Amino acid sequence: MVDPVVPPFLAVLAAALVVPVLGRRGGHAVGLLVTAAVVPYVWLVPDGAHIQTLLFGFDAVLFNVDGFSRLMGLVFGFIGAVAVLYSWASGADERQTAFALGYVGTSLGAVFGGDWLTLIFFWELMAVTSTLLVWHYGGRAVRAGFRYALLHGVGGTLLLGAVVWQYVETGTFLFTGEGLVGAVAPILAGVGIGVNVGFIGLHAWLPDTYPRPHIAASVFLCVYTTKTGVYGMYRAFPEGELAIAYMGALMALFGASMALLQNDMRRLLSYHIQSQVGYMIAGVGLGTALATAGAFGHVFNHILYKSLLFMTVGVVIYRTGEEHLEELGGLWRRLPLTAVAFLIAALSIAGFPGFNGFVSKGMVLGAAHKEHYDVMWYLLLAGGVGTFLSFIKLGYYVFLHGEYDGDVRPANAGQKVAMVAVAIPCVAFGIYPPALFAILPDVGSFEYTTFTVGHVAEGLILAALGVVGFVLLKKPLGKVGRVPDVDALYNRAGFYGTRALVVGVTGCTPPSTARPSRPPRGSPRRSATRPPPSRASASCGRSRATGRPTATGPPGTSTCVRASGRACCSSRCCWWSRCWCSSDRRALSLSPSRSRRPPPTERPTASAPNGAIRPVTPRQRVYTNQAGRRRTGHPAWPSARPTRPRGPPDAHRNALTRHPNRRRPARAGAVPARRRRGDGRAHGGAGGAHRVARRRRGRRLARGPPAAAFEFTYTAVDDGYRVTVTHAGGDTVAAADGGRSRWSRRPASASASTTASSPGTRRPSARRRRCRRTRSSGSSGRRPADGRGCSRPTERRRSRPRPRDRAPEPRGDGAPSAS
Amino acid sequence: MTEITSLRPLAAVLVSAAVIVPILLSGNRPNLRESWTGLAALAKFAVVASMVPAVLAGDTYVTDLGEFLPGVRFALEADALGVLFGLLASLLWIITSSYSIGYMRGLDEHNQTRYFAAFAGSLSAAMGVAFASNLLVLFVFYELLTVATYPLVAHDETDEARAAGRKYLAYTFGGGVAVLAGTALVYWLTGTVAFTPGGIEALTGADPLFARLAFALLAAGFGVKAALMPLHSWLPDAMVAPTPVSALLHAVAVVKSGVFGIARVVLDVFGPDAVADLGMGLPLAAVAAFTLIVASVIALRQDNLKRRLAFSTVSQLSYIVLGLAVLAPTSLVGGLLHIPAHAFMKITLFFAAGAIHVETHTDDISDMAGIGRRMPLTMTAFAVAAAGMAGIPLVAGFVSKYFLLIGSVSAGQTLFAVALLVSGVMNIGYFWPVVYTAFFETPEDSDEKPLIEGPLGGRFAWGRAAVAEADAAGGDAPSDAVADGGHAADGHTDAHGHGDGHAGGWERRSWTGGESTWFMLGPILAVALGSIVLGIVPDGAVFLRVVRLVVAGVTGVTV
Repeated sequence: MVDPVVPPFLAVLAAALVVPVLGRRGGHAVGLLVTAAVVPYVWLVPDGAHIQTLLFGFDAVLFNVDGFSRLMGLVFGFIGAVAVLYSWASGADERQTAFALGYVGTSLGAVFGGDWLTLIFFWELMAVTSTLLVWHYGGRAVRAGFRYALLHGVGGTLLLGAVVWQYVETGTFLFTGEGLVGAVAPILAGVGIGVNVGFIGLHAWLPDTYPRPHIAASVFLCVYTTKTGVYGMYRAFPEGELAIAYMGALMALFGASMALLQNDMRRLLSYHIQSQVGYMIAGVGLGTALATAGAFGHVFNHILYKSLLFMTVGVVIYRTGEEHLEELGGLWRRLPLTAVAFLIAALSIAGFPGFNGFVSKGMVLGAAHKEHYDVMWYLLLAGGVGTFLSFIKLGYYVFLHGEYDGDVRPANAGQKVAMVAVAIPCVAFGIYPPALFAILPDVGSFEYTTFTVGHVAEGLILAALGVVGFVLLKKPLGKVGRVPDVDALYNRAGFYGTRALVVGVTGCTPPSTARPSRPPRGSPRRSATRPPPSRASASCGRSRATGRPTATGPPGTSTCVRASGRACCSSRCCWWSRCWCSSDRRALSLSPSRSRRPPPTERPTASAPNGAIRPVTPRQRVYTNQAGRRRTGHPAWPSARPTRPRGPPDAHRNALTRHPNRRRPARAGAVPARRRRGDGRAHGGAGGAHRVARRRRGRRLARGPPAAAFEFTYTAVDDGYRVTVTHAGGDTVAAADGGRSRWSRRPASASASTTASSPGTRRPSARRRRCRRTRSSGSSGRRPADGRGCSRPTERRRSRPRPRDRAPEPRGDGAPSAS
Repeated sequence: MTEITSLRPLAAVLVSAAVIVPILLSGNRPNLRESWTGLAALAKFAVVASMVPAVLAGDTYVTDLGEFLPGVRFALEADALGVLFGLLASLLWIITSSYSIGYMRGLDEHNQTRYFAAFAGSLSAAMGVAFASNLLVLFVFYELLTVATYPLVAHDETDEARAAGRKYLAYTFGGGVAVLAGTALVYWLTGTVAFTPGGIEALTGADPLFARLAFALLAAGFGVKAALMPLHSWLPDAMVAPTPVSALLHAVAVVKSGVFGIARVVLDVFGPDAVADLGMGLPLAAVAAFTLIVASVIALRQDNLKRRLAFSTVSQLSYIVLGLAVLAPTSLVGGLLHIPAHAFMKITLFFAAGAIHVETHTDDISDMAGIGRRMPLTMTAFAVAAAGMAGIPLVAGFVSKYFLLIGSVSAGQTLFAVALLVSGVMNIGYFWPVVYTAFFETPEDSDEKPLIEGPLGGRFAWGRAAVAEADAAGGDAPSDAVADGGHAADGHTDAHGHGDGHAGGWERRSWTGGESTWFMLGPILAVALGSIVLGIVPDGAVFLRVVRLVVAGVTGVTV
């Protein structure tokens, strides 16, 4: 076949390049057309079409059409088009969609590659483009995206290693139809692809990354990476591999169980990706004709219903701004079509008879049963029960439970079209399975009847178990807080391990600190009075703030001490050993982090009620201890790092900021935005989360504050002590009274604050669950136990620094200027 | 294969030396002075490029200037390996010349005449290294290169620059002594020092002990400039030089002259077979593997962008040395191909760092949050090159790394393949934070850089807390914590606006070149494009063909 075929990824990648310059409307239109065109194109290109070429001097097949790649191409193109439409409707900007199209294009390239070189080429590019898609959202997504990139870098590297070993073994990169051979390549590929498909232990990127970006980005993400992984797994192990099959079965159960414990909607769905991919991996691992067909059927179906799920949940987030189940409920009246779409998708993913998931999941189950892998069969069945359970939970708490008080508008037209377009095939393939079988790749003959009494009964029993299980588990599940996953372990291990490794290699003094200060190049005069060095190049004996030698000693001679006052192990100053130049007060004051505000001209005056008025500098804390003595320096307590209020889930901020038509449920006064009818508790699931949050806050408090920003006045009062936290500008921010850990937000004295006001009147509509809980659990009328935790600014918290209303500040030294 | 007697190799060497005098004479007229540089760069490239077709056909150009020492000719010979290096250096000199103009004028640097003159001299020496026909001539130009680049390293005339310059001289002259000793030893063993593809035959029959000693001396001597650990420490310090110097010399010409010397020793003095017989490949590869891992680890901790790039250079140079030391034909291709691949990528990164410095006076990565708004094209080029460094496809690094991996695995050196793979992941670890901080973070919403310095999870430990607190406490009241995360003038207190304009986020500049002068943007985009071209059609770009030719000539195996 030497027809002039064009690989479809070229068109999509070209679209990705032009979309940013076409504007939002035009860009999305182009993206929609191009991805939609992939579907008929892939359908019409004959089997066996391929483009043979030389890549870096190796034989390569850039484009290869067989049953497997056609199936992947069809559904990738279709969902790509739907997701572009959904992006447009959900307010994604054109650049995000350009990244998404790049992601779609590279995924298409990966599944249409006819050799390992092309596959790994696009595989790695896919990791990059998906990372960009996550990063584009900013905020919390950035760091998660970096973790994602690192993990996929490792995975891609392992697969690259496998490909190299395969080449050395066989002398060619082309698919031989036998998968990977040799001793090393299959193992490397298994683990490398295992990252992409979310093997247990390698899966934590899924729930870490997918809930964070834009709602439309999640729709893209949930489709391509994992399914390309399944495809790659098949290419690597076309004959199957029992260990992988068992891993798949375990994934099915593990993912569903973890999903059941989640309260963040998209996190729950992310665990279900792992669970469902487990079925596919089990199918691929079993390797029989029925199992492979079932696996690819499940790939196809899963992409449909999972993207539909992410779309429905996205609509909920888009319209309510809430990500957590605790915040939601009773939405079916307000989002009827979304609720129906969710129902279809949930029944599909759970494998209810008559929906598409039933067909393909049944095939995998049937294959496992037929081959008498009973353990695997039971694992997969248990995964099915878990799926039912968690989707009953999700649907119940989003659409049924209680009633939503706020004003929620239904999904907009574009979103509706996108959801309906995907919901229809979910039902159609479920009712008429031969349509699905027609597009499955030719894997040899197998016999499978979808609607037998046994299969239907199996589906119904699973559903019944799910309902019963939910009734039983509803209360215990409500008590579950955030469940840590393995990433809690390996993030720490990776971070501290890297830190230890780097410090072990580079020594205690970071080279950037030991280095003589290098002035910015290009100073017009090169005189002896060098401009002070930048922060990173300050060395011991120089104030980190000013770069000038500090008063306690000439450069290099000041001693190193720990913040606690203990002597250091060495004479070198080092963040690792928590040793700092004794001359460097700011570094000593507990915060080695970057505190770079220039000192103000006027020293603020902290006034405490008992008259302990004293000018303070940003670098020095003045406090009076319990004995009434005035102390300067860095008390071990109070280390009142300002706590972060449980912020709004920032994942929906685009929707918040860009769509004025979305209304928040705003109510005046301290009345909670939404109140549930129903049981007295606001929500069963909140208890555990609340406790966890409190523990976290405690930990946060134990660390130091950003030193320059706040001062602490520590005063003895009648029955104990009072700590006043004062803003560097002079405003009292918070005060805490003796012994009680309660923080009140009222100004400590009338004169101290002009701007801080009671949170009760400030942002009433934005109070969080914690406030509501406090109130609804019988303490209404009382100030919430944690006023701080309950206040939530409604806008995206990226405020600009204020306009400089103070006089220009003297550069350099932080010496106080006022008396 | 025929030897064509021609003056072209000599012309390639001398053309830039010849313009030193006009450059010095026209010091008062900067435009005229720079046009001399541009002229020489173009002429040099034209001369080298004119030799490429015949070299690809298997011929060599020779200029014989007579007897240098008894038995040693002072001859310049443009063979495939020499053309690889010469073509690369002369091509990138054109681009760097333009960049130098933008950079030096942008900063209003002092002593620009000396700078351009020394630059031209360095290129002459580099070309001499490329076209030396025997070890002794190579040694001469190798030392000349050190001398010519010293004024560039010490250009700042600060104490730090002088110290770096002294260190540079001490290291590289020390290396030169080792090279000379090795050369003498080779001469003593074989009676010749001329390069012979596949190695000097007499060496195979020589006393293995002395042959090993000669190899060790030569490898160590050249290893200084190739920044093999523990001889690397001059390189990060030399980053005190102006950025174009770091870019062309410390990413391409000087360091590559060390690598090139090792390539000559392995391929043309000893020959891969003899090196394998002597058992010297493995130790060299081990040193290289150690260097590439440890340098990556150190790079993780650098906050100063140029220093991070310097350690990245140390690491990537060892890719090349590793490829040469593994001795398998595919790995030789990978190693030699990494010379141009790394050159294009790293020069992109350095150019970007320099442009950032000129435009915003920002040197530290932790100050670069959101700088993608200010310098979109520059940072895009940076991102492309950074991806290439990590071995992401479409960029040059992928191809050479691929060859290196295949070579290492097929030679059975699994450990080295693992080292390469690990280093690739570490490249992601130290380059991509720069990319994401530039494009996807803002000054008030960024995590700590280097990442390992901050608390786990970056900003969320307190950065946001402080922001939120300030926000919640004061509404629109002063939010010092916000400024804390940003760019208030900590030490950037010099008079010329260090840190200006980005206290509250970077201003947005257009994608059409509003960010800088085209004197710098043009080179940046050109080299970024070059690294992509090398990554997609390495055969179309002439370099891979030359590399294949070199390896075929040495090993007889067509890769």
